[in-house]
Amino acid sequence: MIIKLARTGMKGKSKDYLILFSGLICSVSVFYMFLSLSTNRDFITNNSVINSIQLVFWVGTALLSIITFFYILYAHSFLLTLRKREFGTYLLLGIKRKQIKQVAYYETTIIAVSSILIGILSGLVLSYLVSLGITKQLDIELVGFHPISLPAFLVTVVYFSLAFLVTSLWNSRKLSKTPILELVHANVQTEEAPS
Amino acid sequence: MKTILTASRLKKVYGSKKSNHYTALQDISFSIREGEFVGIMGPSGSGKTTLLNILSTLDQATSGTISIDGIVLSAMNEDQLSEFRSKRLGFIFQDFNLLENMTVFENISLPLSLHGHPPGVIKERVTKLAATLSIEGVLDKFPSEISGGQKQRTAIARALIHRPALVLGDEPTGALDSKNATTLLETLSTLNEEEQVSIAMVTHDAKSASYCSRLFFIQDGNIIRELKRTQTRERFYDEIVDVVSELGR
Ligand SMILES: Nc1ncnc2c1ncn2[C@@H]1O[C@H](COP(=O)(O)OP(=O)(O)O)[C@@H](O)[C@H]1O
Ligand SMILES: [Mg+2]
Repeated sequence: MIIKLARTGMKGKSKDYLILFSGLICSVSVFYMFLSLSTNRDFITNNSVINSIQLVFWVGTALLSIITFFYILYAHSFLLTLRKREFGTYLLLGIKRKQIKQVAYYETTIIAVSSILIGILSGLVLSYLVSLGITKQLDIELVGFHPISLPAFLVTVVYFSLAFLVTSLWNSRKLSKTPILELVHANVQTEEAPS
Repeated sequence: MKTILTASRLKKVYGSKKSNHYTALQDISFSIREGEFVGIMGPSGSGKTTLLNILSTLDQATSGTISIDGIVLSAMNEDQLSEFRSKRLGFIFQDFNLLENMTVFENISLPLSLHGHPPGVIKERVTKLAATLSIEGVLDKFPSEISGGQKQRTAIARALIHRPALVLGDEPTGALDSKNATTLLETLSTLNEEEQVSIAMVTHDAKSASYCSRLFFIQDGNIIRELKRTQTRERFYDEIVDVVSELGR
């Protein structure tokens, strides 16, 4: 039942989820690309020009990780806000808060796993293309670069898993704290109108 | 006849700081018997919504007690309340609160499927109730594909499917045009008379109130008058209008 509710709920907001999802895939793949370029030792040590722009990759990765973190947190919380009414109605019809949190948790897991997987795959392609671009621009030989980088892979998976975990806990806390009245009547203009 | 709801000495104070305390309900006591269609009437800001939210178990009174179907609300924790609500109460909202991504059938059956009733029983009960409310033809449609009147009857069906002890509505006709409002009120009235469904409805409109069997007038957080319907609806309406203008003076 929980799984069914999560599925129908997400389907109902599929457009919003699609936007969130594409944003996440982009962040994951760019994140991976930066990491794979900056952690590729052979590539870096064998190319003195590349060596000097290593810093750029690191700063880029750091900035990106901060931006991505807040993006995940706010985008996902926003989607749950859109669904306040739905959750309120569930509560009213007898679903317990614990179960609603499970629905939210389940959704976050699905989004997290699929965006990390797809993001890394497209990150592979992206870093390959970018490495081609760099070598062409700087007119140097492509030596030792390999888009498949184990450290980049691990850091990406761990970092995004953590970011999603924090998001999940944050939303769970928010769901616990919101009174049922606020959930049931969320976005209801008629309630505010004088009666 | 059995008493469905007893409210005694309800008081509701909003605001946490002393400076912005506002007493929305002063001292409210009344009861509803099984099979009654009770209306709570009063001007804007008189405390109707506050009262209904408390009766609905969605909000807590500052003091006073409520028992519904023999169960004292304050004795329950949140999960028990949720269970109670879903088994003993039915809700009709102004804007229906239908789940957009479920079909009419799924919407109506949700209160049953959440409690693990077998699919055969669910199908039989939904089909029967849908026929009573003339929405058997739209069971496979989504809320966005049906008319306002059909949505409203879907919402009624969802409020009734689990055979609640009490159906609650806060200005349920508030967002409807007069034709749909009349249909809703007639449907409630018929369900009340023929199936003995107990209903408590909040309204500020004399016409809606005239469908009730008993009315409480509320003003500044107190019940100031009670009116029982003894005659036809039209006569009752005139009586209500008289009381309203008398109280307005
Ligand atoms: N959450 C709240 N916090 C503070 N005051 C409130 C709140 N809800 C309602 N009130 C006040 O309580 C009074 C009664 O409100 P309400 O029960 O909504 O009246 P009605 O439904 O009869 O129009 C109003 O004066 C309103 O401003
Ligand atoms: Mg109101």
